[in-house]
Amino acid sequence: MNQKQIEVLLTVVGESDVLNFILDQEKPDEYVVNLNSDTSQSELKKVFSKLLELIIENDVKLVLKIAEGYSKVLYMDVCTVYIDDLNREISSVAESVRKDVS
Amino acid sequence: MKIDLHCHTKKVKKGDNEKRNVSLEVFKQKISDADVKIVAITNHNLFDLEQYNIYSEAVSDYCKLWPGIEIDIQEENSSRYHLIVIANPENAEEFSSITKELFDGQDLDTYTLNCKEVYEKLNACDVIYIPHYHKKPGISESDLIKLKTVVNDDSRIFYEPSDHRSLGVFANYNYSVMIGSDVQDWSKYEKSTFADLRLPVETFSQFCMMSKRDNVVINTLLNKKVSYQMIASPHSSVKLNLKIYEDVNIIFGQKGTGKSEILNSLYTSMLAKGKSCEKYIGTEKDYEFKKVLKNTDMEANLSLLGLEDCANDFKAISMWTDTNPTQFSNYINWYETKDNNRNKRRMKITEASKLIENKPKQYDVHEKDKKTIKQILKHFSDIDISMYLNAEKYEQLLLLFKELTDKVFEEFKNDVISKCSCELTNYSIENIKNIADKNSNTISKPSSTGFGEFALKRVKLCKIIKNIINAFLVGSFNEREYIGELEEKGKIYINKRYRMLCDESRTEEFSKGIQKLKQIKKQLYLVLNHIYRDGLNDCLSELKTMIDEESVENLKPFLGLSKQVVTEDGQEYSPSNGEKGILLLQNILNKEADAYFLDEPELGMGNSYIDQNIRPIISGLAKRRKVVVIATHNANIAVRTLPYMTIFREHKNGIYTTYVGNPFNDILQNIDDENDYRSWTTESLHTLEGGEEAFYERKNIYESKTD
Repeated sequence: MNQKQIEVLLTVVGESDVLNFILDQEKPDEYVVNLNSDTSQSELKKVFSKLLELIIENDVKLVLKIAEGYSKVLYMDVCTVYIDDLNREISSVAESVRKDVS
Repeated sequence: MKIDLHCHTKKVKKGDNEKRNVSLEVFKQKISDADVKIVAITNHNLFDLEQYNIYSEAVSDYCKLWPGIEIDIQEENSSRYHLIVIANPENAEEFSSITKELFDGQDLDTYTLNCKEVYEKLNACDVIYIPHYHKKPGISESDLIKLKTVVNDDSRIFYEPSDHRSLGVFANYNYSVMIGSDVQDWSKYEKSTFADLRLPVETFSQFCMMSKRDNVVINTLLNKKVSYQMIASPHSSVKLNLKIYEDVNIIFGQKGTGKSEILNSLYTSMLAKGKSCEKYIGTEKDYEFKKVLKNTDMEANLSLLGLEDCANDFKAISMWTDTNPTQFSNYINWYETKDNNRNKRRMKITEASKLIENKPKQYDVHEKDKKTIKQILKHFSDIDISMYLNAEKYEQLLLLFKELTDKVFEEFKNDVISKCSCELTNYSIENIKNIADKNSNTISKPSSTGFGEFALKRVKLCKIIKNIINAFLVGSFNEREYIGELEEKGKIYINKRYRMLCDESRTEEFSKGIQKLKQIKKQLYLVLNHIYRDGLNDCLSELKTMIDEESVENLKPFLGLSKQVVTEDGQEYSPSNGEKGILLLQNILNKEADAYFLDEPELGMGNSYIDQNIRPIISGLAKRRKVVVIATHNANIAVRTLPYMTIFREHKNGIYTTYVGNPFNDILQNIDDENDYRSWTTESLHTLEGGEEAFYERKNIYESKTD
């Protein structure tokens, strides 16, 4: 099984705090979640769909990176917990998903 | 009834085969094997009374022997021919003494007589005469005239041709033909071709009377078969009282005289008598064949292809909803309020994550097995096991079954505990969080990001869709049913094909519109492609709408049902119009029934086929005492089957008349006027052969062919 580390960048775009999931190297800005907007849920859904596709073939681990100069502690702490929880859930379901899809 | 009026039991002349000699035991066995009911012993220039009496007695239970002799006849300025003379068995002794007088002391290899001498000596014994006719050494036409003049009673003269055909006595057109075994080798006797009497005579006198077309004798013989008085209606206001036999019954006449109506009303009447009937209508063969190929009698049985109906899968699709990720703002809210209450901070359970609610691996298997065990238990008690097993084995079986039941239940119980404990845990954690939040002015940490549930739901949908799609990839199931046989094509079958919707499917295979079904199938593939994509919900919503609109609840609507005509090797074949008639007719005649009604079966078929294939089947049914009623314009069917009943319909000067009769007495009588009768031969020739002149002209043309 391929080991795949995926960088998740916490940064600011414009005036919004965003989490950028680099799920596709060819499209580095495709999977961005605006943490300040109502659209975050649907954006997260898009991320989940892609993650699901990836975990079928790979052992995925998300790694949170904080953009240089980013200083909001609240978001740094929350995102750390969030990414940890997400990694845990990915591990819990990965085997089951691969088995069901094969 | 088979008869053999040319049978040898002795080698007499030098040219005779040795194997013509037959012992009593062999004679008895061979006559029995051949199932011949009348045999005339006709040795060359010799009648052995002693042998005749012994052999007669030996076979008397199953065969009658008639005394006879085969004589060499030589007329002046003519070539020699063979003449068989057969006497009434009551005059066997007298016949013996006269033949002794004629032949004793003569060279049997060369001795000849003329027909006048034979007649003068032997006619008093009540005899019939059978010259070789177109069979060597055969009688010439001039000698035949001489013989007829001398005998002066055509009913006593028969003709023995050389061709082996299945014959009826008193065939039409003034030739009473008779064929005998002329046995050369008794070891092959039963393979000979014998004449077949349509009416079962018992005595020589009866045979002669039948030849003379004696009505009383003929009716007596006809009435040996069961008949039915039936009402037929060529028109709603007309009722005809007709006698229908358990044999061949023919209806013929010009077009428009109500033959089909008579046939249909007889069919209805026969059904009303509680008889099973089959019907074939020549003009409807195209329509009937289309009916044979309709799939309305086929059931959409998915198990034939080894498939489940996937009803649960379709239901699951209808009820499937997507799961949304936990709002990120829920995490923010938690983090912002987590320090609002110190006691709450200490309740670490409020920060617990949800357990992934996934069924144990074998949950479905154990659940299914538990259901199966329950069903077995239910049926188990219906059997009296002690009828099949002794007490010890019964006890062992019960113990093993109990062990199996306990283990299955135990496994399933563990699965249920595992699953339910997970559900209960998650439920409990949520409730604790809610209560804690209410009482602490805080928001608990979200139990999950929502990814686990999201992933499992999507994967479940993927499995469901794949399960349905895989069903479309299953090959077809075919069932063949023999329908008949065609020349040069061999056996023909109706192939029932069950196959899932595919590119080659045709509209008529499905009860629902094929385009809609194809759209649903296409949409299934689209949903599968979008399982891991953003547009899944739109695709799925469209699929749900399609399924709902077409009321598709399982895979059955996608199972195509069709029938094809195929040859033995499975190749699809399109029979011609005539071939459809042949197959339909064969199919009907091969079915077991009490009565068969055929309306113009000859339509679309060649005469040769009718005579060689259809007529023998009809005759076979008659021998089995089936009622066969045929409305026809075909001479081979109407004449050569020698029907027990002929119904002739005529329309003249605006009046319809019905005549009934048979070929045996050559009479067709008006059912409403006993003084009005016609010749069966004349009417048959006129209606079926285009008239006597046309018939004999054809005969002469055929006979002018040089051998």
